Amino acid sequence: MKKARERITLSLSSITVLSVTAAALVAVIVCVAVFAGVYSRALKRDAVYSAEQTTAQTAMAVDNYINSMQEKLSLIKEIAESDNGSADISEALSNIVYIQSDIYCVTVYGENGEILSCTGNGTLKENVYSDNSFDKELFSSGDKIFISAPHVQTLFQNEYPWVVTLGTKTSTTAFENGRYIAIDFNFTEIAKYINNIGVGSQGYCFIADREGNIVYHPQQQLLFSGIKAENTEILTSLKDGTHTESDIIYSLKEVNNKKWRIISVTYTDYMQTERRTQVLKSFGITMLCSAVILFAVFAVYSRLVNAPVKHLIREMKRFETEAEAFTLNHGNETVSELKVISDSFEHMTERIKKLMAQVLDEQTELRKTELKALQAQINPHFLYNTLDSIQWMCERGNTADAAKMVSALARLFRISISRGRELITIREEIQHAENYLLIQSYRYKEQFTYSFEVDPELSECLCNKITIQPLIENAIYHGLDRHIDEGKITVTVRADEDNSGDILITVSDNGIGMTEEQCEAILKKHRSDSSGIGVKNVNDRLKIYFGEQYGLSIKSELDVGTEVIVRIPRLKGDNNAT
Amino acid sequence: MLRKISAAFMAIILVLSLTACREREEKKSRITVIAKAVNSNFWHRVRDGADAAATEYNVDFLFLGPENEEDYSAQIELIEGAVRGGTDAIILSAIDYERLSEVVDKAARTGVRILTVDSDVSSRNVSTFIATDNVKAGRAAAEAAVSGFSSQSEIKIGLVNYYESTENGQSREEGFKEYIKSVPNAEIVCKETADSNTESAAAAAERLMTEHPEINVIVGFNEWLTLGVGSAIKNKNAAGRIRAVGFDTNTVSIDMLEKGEMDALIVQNPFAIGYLGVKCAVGLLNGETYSERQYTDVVAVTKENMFDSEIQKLLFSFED
Repeated sequence: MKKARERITLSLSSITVLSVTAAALVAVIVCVAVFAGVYSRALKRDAVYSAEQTTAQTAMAVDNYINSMQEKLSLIKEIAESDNGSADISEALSNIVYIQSDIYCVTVYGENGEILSCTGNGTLKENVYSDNSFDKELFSSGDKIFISAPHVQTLFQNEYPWVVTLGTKTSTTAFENGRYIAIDFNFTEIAKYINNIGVGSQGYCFIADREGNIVYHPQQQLLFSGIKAENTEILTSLKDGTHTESDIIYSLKEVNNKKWRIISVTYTDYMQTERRTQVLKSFGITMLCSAVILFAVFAVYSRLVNAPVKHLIREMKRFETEAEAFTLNHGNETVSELKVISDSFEHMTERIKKLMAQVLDEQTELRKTELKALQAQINPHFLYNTLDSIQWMCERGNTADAAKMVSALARLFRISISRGRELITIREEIQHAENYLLIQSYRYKEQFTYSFEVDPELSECLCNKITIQPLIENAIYHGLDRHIDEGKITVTVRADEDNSGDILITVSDNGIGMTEEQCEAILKKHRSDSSGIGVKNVNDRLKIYFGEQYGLSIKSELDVGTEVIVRIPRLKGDNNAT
Repeated sequence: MLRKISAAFMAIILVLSLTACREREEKKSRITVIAKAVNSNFWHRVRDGADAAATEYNVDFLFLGPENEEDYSAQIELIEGAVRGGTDAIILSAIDYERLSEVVDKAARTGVRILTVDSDVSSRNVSTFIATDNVKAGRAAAEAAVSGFSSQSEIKIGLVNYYESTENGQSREEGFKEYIKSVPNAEIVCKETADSNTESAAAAAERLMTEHPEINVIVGFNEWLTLGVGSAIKNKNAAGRIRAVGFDTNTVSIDMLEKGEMDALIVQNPFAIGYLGVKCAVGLLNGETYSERQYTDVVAVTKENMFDSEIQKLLFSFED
């Protein structure tokens, strides 16, 4: 039960750490989630914006090309329709073709595509197998100026350049039956321009017509072989502008009088990975930053709260073990609540210490008073028996002995009372013991003898009154009373040999002796008749007056005898004790 | 305590700066194409394809190659230079299958991804090999050769292949023979070997025509042999009588096609090879994997379809 409780016990600091960490973690996750959403939207917006811009720029460039081509066409048309002779016109045309690098050739066609004149820089083929530049349908469509899709030009020997043909009807008279005039412009420039347009991190531009047919695609060699495909269905259905279809952003803008459209394609699936790494990165950085902040917070917290709390706990434990000598060591108490607790605790310990001292004093006083009362008491059995003996002596006419008994009894009481003094000289105490033994020796006729060995130097030292008498009483009643041989009681007073100053008073008998248990019991037990001063009381009294190291010790051996040793400090008597 | 905190701060700053560095490095991948040659039509179009992919995938791209198509030591230098220059991936067309493997392995050990196109190299470190499926190309040539005949007429075929036992020519011939076996009225009558140049091929083709006057199909197995076959037919005035099939394109062979001296050309798609090379390199750098071999298709071009809008896109590249 106790173990189980201990297991779920958490320290204040760990609870704080856990809760703060949890809160920080939740905050970070929420922040990163919000950031990821915002970042993702921004990324997509940027991609859409850049696709739009790129498409618009490309459209403008292509339109510029087409406009300049149209201008050149009208210029050449003017030349062709001038009144000059065909030779002059041919020369003028060949000059223009020579100078204008983007013009590949100028051709005058008859009604059905007969080549009436072709001015270019190469050598014309003798047999033209297929003239890709002349598209009957387109030429007769009625447009003022018509533009073909890019195609390979096949009129010149060993040359197959990519061109775009611009043509218009002509009323030239220089070439007989001339119905159309057409210029083949090099398409390479436009192609290169479009080839080099990258859109976003992954994307490109191409040109398609309104029907979804691809006019020019930088990867057109892949489209045929199936490695790549453009979704023409979607492209025809989409209006101009920017559209996002699943992972692809399409941006469309019309050029060439709405006949063509520039289409940019941006793949956004790479954004997913980019966003994931970005989110992870920012998550990591945020975690690191919050870890740093947490670390700092904990450092401060530990310094301000944790350490003082632990210090206080240590102080409390110390108070438990050593309450009397305790004084509170104040730790670092910056936090006001902890200061209050600490101060209250200090106040409490002081109060407890005072109360403890008070209780101790009161107890001691009480004991002293009690012991005094006991000292003053005369064992009524003893008095009765003594008086009984005196009476008996008087009846027998043994007045001398009776007088001795009475005088001994009187001295006994005088010393017992001692004008209320607690401490008397050893000499007086010995007298008291002698008187007692005298009285007792009358009662126990010739049953024991007694002797005193007192160091005369110590006879004026002080000791508690009625210290020896209870020990003698104990020796007589418990040691000699049941003894068959003649008993012998010896009282010695001497200085302790090894311990400087202490006085040892020994009461020894040759009685039946005691077991160790009895020895211990006698020091703990009140006298059974509960009157007079028992051995325990003597011991208690000595300890109360002189301290724990003083008091009684008993050595005893069965059938050999008992020796009770009293240890008291050496106090030179001036009879000043109370 | 204070020391601990400052140490932690230092560590964090270090980590952050390291990630910042890495971010800068990852900004734009660098891909180097090392070709067998830089001047041929085929490699120009490989470069165009690679360029298109580099534009689409927004990577830096460099196209290099030796002056001479036999100079493998120049290729070794180019690979070493590219590795020193900090390229992320190398797309290699190996001049020598064996002698380049050491430098390729060395480059791979520094973390550079290696891809091969057109001609493979002997190395385990090649991530993927992208090329024309030559067996399939041979089959396409055979199909084009017999397509001009009715099922009753007997088809007698003469082959002109080149001496060197290169993998390309053999695979094409293998595919060709395999297809012819399935055509009951066709048989390969004779075969001549020639050097890989127009004159030698023309001589070989003329020999075939005089020694085996019954043949009505001649096949040349690479660009130069094709030109030789074409000129032999022109010299012998055999256009229309003998059906000529060749490989690859250039303006001369297209002109022959237009004039009827050649009847079919099997055209590879070098643009697709270049494009796929760069696309796969980007994919590899982003942690994707590809099959060991990837093949691009071929197209049989004839006089009839050569100016179809799709075929002309494949057949004619933009001049520089």
